[in-house]
Amino acid sequence: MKNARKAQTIREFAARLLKECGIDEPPVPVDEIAEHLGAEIRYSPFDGELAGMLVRGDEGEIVIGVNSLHHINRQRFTIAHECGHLLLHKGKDVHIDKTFRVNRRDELSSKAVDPDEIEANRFAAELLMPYDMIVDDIVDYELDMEDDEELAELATRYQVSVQALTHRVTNLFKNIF
Amino acid sequence: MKRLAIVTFSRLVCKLRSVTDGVPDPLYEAFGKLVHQHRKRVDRMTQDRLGALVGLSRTSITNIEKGRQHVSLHQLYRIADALGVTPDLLLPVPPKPGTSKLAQKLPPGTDPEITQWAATLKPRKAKPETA
Repeated sequence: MKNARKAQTIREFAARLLKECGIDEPPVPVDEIAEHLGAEIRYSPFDGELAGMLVRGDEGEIVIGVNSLHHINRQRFTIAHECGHLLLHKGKDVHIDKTFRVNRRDELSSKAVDPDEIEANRFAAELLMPYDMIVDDIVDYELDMEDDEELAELATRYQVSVQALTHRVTNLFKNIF
Repeated sequence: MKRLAIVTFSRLVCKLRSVTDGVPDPLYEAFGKLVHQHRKRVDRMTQDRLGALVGLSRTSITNIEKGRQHVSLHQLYRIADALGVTPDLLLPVPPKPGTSKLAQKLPPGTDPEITQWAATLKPRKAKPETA
């Protein structure tokens, strides 16, 4: 089984896409990005662990399906995750995504997951919390990881869940120091 | 005059029955379940708060979610608006397996519930309100 591509590689994909769409501040309009990639977003309620899916149709149509029962921030993450599959994984026509393990900090649990899923999750984080923007904010806010209110404020600014933001910032700190 | 009053009264009774007939109906139960699920998705959206937003009591919301109270069309729109979804997402969809091209793309062995879900996906025109 191949390994997931490195964070740096995934970051470049996300940064290029953000630049193409002219996005330079949060919150990142993820539905516009999906449209830019030629995907149509559709919704339906699903009572269970299903987050969403990506389908490439026979006539070139691309559909991102989202579980409308999930929290809006979670739906944004799902759309970003599916955009990741769309951009990074050309070979497979259908991706069905159950609950993502975004809040697991230990590497062991993510190793058990398909590398495509790891890449799509990394991409979603890089797209919704772009490197340049988040690093600037960490410096500007003098972010204290122990301060729940600060984390919540920053999560609101990016329209992501507090878990997704905490995970992102923890990973950044790990790579910087 | 008296007859008119009786006629009006019986009409009122009929109307009340149609609104709250108390008999469980699978269609309204399915609708109520969707309202309940979409309400739970929104932060701090209690039955009280939803009631206040749509001009109904908490008890009415309980009854609607249980399928005991039948909503009117304008109430459907108000509830959808309060929950930040388009009204169609609250409408139960009868199963029609195999009618969606999208669902047909799914690989064999896909969970039937997921296939059914894929067949009911719809675009969202209005942007959801961020509560």
